[in-house]
Amino acid sequence: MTETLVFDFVHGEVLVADADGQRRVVTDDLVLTGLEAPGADSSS
Amino acid sequence: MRVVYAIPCRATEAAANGTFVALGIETNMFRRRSFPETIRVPMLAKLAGQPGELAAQHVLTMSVLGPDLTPIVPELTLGFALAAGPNEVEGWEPVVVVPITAEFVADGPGSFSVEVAADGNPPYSVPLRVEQLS
Repeated sequence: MTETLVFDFVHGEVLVADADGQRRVVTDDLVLTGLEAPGADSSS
Repeated sequence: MRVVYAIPCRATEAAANGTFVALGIETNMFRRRSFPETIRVPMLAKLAGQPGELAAQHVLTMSVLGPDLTPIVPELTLGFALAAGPNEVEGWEPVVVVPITAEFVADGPGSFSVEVAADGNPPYSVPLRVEQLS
């Protein structure tokens, strides 16, 4: 997951922040894409 | 689903192949000159469940406890589902690692904790210390 979940208790809302820091309020259930672990090391 | 861990960091960033870069692992001390002050806690959280749980809807809950171990703000919840990823290994417990940031206002110095829970299971507690910078 390349975005960050933000639990903003100051404003009482849950947001998603992208890699550039842009935030949007989560209004529906979120799909956490990718069972990210185990992470892969493809170096040789 | 359950929360396996939530590691407080100074900053997190997604990298290639489902891994993350974490700066300042176990950053759990916050020193501020004045109060009230917003405390921002980036964390890496690992969620795990059984294969049969993947198709279900889940709920992630976060709360912040103050120095007296009672919530200082209403808890926040997020409904979520999981989609299979490229690195899933058959027979392994399905997991997802999620960068999560908690932001709350500390009215003064003291011990706080961020509690992260999934599907009503016992929360993973992240203790934090907020101190007055002299």
